[in-house]
Amino acid sequence: MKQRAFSPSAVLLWAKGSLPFAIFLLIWQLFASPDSSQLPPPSSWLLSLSLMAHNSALGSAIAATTSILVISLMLASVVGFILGLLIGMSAAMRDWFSLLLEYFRAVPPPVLIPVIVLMLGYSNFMKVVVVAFAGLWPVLLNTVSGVSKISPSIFDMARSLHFSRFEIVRKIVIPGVVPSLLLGIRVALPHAIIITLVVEMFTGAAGIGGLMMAAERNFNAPAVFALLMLVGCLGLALTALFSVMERLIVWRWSSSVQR
Amino acid sequence: LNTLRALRGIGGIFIFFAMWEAVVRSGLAQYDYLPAPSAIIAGLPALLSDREVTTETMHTVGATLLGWGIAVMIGLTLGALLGVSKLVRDYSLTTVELLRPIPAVALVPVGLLLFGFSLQTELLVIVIPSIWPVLVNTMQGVMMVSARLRDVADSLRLSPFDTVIKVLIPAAAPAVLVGLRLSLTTALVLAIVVEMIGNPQGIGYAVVREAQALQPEAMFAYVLLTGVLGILLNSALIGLSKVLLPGEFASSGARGRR
Repeated sequence: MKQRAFSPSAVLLWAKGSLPFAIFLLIWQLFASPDSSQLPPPSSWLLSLSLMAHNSALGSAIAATTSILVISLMLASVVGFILGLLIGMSAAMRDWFSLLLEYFRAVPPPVLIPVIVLMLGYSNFMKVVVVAFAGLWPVLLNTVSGVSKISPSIFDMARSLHFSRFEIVRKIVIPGVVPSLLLGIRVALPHAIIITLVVEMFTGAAGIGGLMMAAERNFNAPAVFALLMLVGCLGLALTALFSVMERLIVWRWSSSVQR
Repeated sequence: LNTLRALRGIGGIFIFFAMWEAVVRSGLAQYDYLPAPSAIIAGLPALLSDREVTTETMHTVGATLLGWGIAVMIGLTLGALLGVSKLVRDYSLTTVELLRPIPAVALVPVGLLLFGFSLQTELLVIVIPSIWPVLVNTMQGVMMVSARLRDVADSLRLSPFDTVIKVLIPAAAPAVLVGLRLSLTTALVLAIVVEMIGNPQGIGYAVVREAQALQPEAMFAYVLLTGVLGILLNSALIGLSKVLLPGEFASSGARGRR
């Protein structure tokens, strides 16, 4: 299914595949009344977007949202990775934490927003904590399962080579877990985007989420749809960026010690 | 050995709550709104005798299941179509990939714009994102049904209907199940999100209400309840799939892990 990007056939396939979406937008454009208060035509979205871009509200909102997102995701990755290593390294630890992790995984992260707001107040720190908390679980669980998948014979080999515990972690565990860690971050990314937006919507804070709620409250339908498209593009761009990073890291770091 | 593991798991939960209790009691964590677990438990009877908790839980679970049901029907149909026909795949896969990354919550303002504070808003936000896991997993499940199985169906002269019922569905079932589980989790999370910022009903709204009323005990009780709900819904689905597809289940359990 994977094709080389940007070959003519891949571009053609891409164009073919996006046909239903294009037709859908075209029909919307043709049949919506230009001043519809609920379903304004796509051309009005673009107009609204350029309007917002001019008064600089958009730029600072994008900057606020992405910076919270990136910082939180980095925090979640580091904390999740370290905790995951600690828990994953011993079978007994895995047992002790099994039910607790199972339970925390089941708690929908957005429900913690009011809790953390109540404890930390409205601040950027609060936002980072909420988003990082949501992104933590996929990273942690994937790291744990990554450690547990490393073949035991590799550890036997390390012991017969008289590796120290530190060397075992540095030379075997970390390279072996990197693919699982990356998978965890990839799963965490959309969660983190969603929670960032929810926090902004919930607190009315600066950012794309806050902008969307304000637009909705003013019945500015074109702006709502424009921001929806923008958020979709942001999601696509971040996912694509992460894929590039992932390929670089795997190429540089990973080793095949999994069974 | 398994009882030891279970005991350790339960022990882990006890230790967690004991540490929480100790941290709050000793005054190590100075937060006005962090109650000790004992205080949350002490508040439970009052909360449970109140009719609202039942109504709110029913509302959230009802909206989740209804939205999930709609999403599953759409996802299964489209996913099967995409999996069976390369033509359909060629002419719509990019559209799926363009729409899928739209963060679900961004639909809340759209829903509010169209339907106001209502169940329709809630369903819109639940249904659309819950379609994708079902659609993608069904598509991949159907595509992975090996050509040899289809040849067998052909040589047995099964009708197209029988081919679908007796070969395609059982073979694709494990992958589809993974999609169903992911989608149910998504549906519950989104139901709660919409209730927090869109439709003021159900458990999501209850958490916000208790937070604004500065009732941390009740708020934490609702938060802990959402975790229980998540586990119950997931186990109900696993139980159901064990009954419906004995034998297939083992292979699907591990892959559903996120």
